[in-house]
Amino acid sequence: MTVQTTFGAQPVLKMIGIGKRFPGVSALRNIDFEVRPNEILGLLGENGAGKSVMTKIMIGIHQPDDGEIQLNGQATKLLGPVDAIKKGIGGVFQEGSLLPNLSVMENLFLCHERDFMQRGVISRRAMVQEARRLMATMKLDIDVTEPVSQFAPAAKQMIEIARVLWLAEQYGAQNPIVILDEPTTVLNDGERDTLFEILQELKQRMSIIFISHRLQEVLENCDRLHVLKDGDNVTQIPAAGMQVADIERLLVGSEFSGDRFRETDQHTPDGDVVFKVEDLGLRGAFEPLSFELRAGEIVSLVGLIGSGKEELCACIAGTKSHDTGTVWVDGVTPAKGSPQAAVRAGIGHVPVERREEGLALNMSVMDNMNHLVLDRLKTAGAIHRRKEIEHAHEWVAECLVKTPTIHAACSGLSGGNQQKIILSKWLSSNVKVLILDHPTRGIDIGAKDEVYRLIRKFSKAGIAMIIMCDTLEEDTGLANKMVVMSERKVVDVLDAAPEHKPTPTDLIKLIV
Amino acid sequence: MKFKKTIVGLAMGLGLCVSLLTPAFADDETTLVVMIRGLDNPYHANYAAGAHALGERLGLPVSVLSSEGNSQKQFADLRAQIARTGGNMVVNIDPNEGPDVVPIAKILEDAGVYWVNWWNKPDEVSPSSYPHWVAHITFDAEQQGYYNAIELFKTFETPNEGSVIAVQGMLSNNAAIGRFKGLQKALAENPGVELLQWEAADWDTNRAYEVTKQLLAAHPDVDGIWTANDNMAIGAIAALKETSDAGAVKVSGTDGIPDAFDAIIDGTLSSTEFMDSRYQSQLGLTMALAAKNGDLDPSTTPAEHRAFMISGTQVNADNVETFVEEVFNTMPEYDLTDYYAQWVSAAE
Amino acid sequence: MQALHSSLRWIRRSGVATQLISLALITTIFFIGTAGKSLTMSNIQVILSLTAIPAILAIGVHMTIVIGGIDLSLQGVVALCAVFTGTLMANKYTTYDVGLWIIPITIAVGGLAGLLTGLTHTKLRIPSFITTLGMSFVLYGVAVYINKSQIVSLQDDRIQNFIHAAPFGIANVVLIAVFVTTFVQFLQDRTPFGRHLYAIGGDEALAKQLGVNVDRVKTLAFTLAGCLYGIGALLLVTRMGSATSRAGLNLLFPTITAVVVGGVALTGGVGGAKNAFLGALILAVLNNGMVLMAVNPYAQTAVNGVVLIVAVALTIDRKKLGFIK
Repeated sequence: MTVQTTFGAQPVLKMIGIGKRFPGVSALRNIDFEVRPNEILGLLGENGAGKSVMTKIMIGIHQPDDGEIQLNGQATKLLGPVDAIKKGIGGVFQEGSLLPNLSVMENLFLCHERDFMQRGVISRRAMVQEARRLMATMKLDIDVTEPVSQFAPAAKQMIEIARVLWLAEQYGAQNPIVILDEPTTVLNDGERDTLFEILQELKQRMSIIFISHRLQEVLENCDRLHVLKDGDNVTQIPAAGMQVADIERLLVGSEFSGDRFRETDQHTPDGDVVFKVEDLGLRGAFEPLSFELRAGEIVSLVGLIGSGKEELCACIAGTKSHDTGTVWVDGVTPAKGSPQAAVRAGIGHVPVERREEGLALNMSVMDNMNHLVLDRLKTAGAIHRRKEIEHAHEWVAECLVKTPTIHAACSGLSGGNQQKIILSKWLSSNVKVLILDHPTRGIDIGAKDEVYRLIRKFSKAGIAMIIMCDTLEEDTGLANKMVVMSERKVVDVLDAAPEHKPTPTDLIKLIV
Repeated sequence: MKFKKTIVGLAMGLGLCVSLLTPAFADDETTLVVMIRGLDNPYHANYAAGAHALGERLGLPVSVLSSEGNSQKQFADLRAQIARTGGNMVVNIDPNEGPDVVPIAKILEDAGVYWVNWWNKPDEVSPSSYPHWVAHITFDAEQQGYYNAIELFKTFETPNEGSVIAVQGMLSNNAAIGRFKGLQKALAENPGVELLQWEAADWDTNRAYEVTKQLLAAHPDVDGIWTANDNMAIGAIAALKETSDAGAVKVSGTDGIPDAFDAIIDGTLSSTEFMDSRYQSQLGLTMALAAKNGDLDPSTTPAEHRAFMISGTQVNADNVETFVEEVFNTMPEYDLTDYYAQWVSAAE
Repeated sequence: MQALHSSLRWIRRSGVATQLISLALITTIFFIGTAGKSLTMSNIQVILSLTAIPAILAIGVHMTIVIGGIDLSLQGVVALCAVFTGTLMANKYTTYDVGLWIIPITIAVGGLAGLLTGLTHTKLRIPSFITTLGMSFVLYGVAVYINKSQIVSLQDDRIQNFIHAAPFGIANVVLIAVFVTTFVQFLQDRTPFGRHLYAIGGDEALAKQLGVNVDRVKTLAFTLAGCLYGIGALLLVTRMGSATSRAGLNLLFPTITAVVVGGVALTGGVGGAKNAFLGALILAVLNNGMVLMAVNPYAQTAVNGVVLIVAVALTIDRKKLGFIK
């Protein structure tokens, strides 16, 4: 019934041919998107597919480069979060937008205190009453005069949703739209059920855009789905009758266009074992596990967020300290919990937050590249300027870094070039094992290909790699071997030689 | 046309050379330079005024360098002044901090400039090791503290019998320490007077007001309040006024600020000692000038005349009105023929 | 039992629990240490009258700390206002005599100085630390220039007599400070401007995103702080009966100490006018107690330093329990 009623209706929000580009990356291309009255719309896509850019356009934080936004059939521009909410669109994001030191009611009515003024001053009683009414609609029994910092994430989410609804009501929006970005990740099962119950009620007077990685809950609660992939529309379809597997197919995509991952260059390792983990475990994160790598071997860790793969990499890189077992690199066992010891033993780490962790952005290309090998560039104890320059030039050429000069600051380069600098930094040092955490996150197709080329090249040169990629096909394409993790355990280890790569559907069955 | 241009060019070039070289030539007239710490207080403002009056009398240019509490600025200004006058100058200095004297001495000795220093210097440095350092002079702080204490004790209901409280200046400051020593000396000589308690008020009027108010709450029956300077005495008087004892119980100060003279006339302040910075300024410049002109030879001057202490002008109810009229409100013509007229003792 | 419970709850919520406990503690220590002298009626009067002006100045500074900034221009603004008072009230150096108009004039001079600071800070996007530090020197320079380093005795003593008078048993200057505290606390609790101060202090970027006019609120906070410095300067000068550009010296450190001791977190977003008042009161009690107990003056300086460090440690601890920015 619900599905039918929403389908015929005129969309509340319509976005036509939306495009958005950032320096070096095209984030969205020609997206058509619509939200209909009284529906819960599931917005799906893997990391980097463009969901967050879409939502930021909807609340006016980003302006689209191409295309048009229509609200109730009228073309409009959304100038910022405040303007968007006036037009009936608000969002509740993971990072939260409540001021921790203010009380619940002060947060709810921030910048609308005038509605509660009596004889020139704020009437706390009126504010408390209205706040209690709103909390009741959210089935939330809390003291609205307590500071927000006192409350659990679930309550905070409800407060934020209530604020969006209240504001939309104040501005007289007919059918407000609330964007919920991964609301369930911080909730336990009971809280999650309550949330959906309330959402089903709220749907009677609003529309909800629901973003989640948990496909099952999306299918159960959404009326319609919109799938994005790599900044393109994939499809929009009613949710009824869909299975999780169908969605997975849509998310992963079916086009294996040619040799995207340079599989023909894949090197089959036949050297010695250079890296081992034995009974490595961290309580609450992953259970004791073992695997080993030969020189030049690429192993891909696959699994959902929370499967334990991130923590595993952190233990290997020394940023976390494991409880049991050992890490072994070519005869050396680095002290646990020490990134310096890991680096000395020959373990390199390319983090996902490269702008924050991997690069000194204000320093030059040369300084970043030479950072780990300064000892080799010394003459009589002092760094030799000419050697330094030569080394940097050599690696800029080797990795095809596009930079005006080696003295340019890294902050001005595109994501792809920054990534290449980080790779070259590690590759030029004596690294034996390199952990690549989402090496192609946020960089465009061309740069991705060059990163793949570098990975192949250094695999051939004998550097072993542990990779975690944005998509399953990337994982599959690059790896020699795949370690599948689920629920904090290794569930399978698959061979991924070029001729018989596992299919994404095989993997998903193991992962979920 | 071309010829004309050449002439113009040559003339301009010559002009440039002259203007560039000028600073290197010695000025005909010796510049009187005073270096002080800032113009935001009457003491230093009078220092400058004294120098200007002397300059006018002798027909010599005067330059006032104010360090604003910044030692580096002080050095830079001094170097610039030497460059400007080509070293034809004499200097009278109130250095920003004692240790500054060493670099100042280096700069001035290298330039061959005669100079007199006031108040602060490191203990281990003495004028006798510098040919151009004519003298180091200070006002005798102990003498000030002593004189004002004695004057205060006289005003008690039974003179020299009673109790006092004291408001001290900044604890680490030499002048404060010296003046307090003077108070102790007066107390030792007058066993009938008891010091009940003392507190520090950092030379600050507001702070002195607050401290006095609290001391009076603890000791309501004091016979007098000794303070380490007039600024603080003004604060103490304001606090006394609120308990309406001002006048009956007197305060003593030192320094000689205008408000202090008014307070003596009003009967709230017993005495002060005026440190006449105009005299100070003129005395220092005159001595340095005499050395430069050969009338005073530092190398033959005895040690007690190269580092010494002088006394200020003692002002109490008996002489305040004539003093204000004849000395304070007019620029007196000081007798500068005897450099040691106010000499009290050699500085240790 | 119910009443006790709800009053305990009120104290916890009011954000002054630590301060009230500290106050009770040091009062007790001094009561014992001075054999009761510290709590005589006359000494309490002294403490309160010495709390008044520091409290007003502390409330001014705390306005700017609550929004996550700082105001170091205090000394410059006070110097300028003091010099205006000395120039415009009846005195023997100038011919002006504005009488009681000096009250709105000083407040306006302070307010304008604060407005200028606020606009420089928000429009030119210069951190408040630097803006106000610079402004302090500029205003002090102007004050010295106008004042020409004189100490100006005021011939009009109406304000002086008024602030010392005690028709209600407590000196009027104390009542003025209590009124200022109540007024600012009311602004903070019951007006949008007041609530927005805390929104900005909590998270400036987020507050802006949620529609708070950050620049206007900040400018207003600095202006109000300036007005309070003006009031403080007028009281300082008339209390003494003489005005000088040196009136503002040595005020900054004790004032910021009072703000911190009162429980206003230096990181912003926590603490109100009542905290600043309590901070000034605690410091006054502490200094008074040390004088009454005749604690060695050399040691007193050290005690003040320790108090500041302990106070900062306590506010940081409170933040851990309450909200983490």
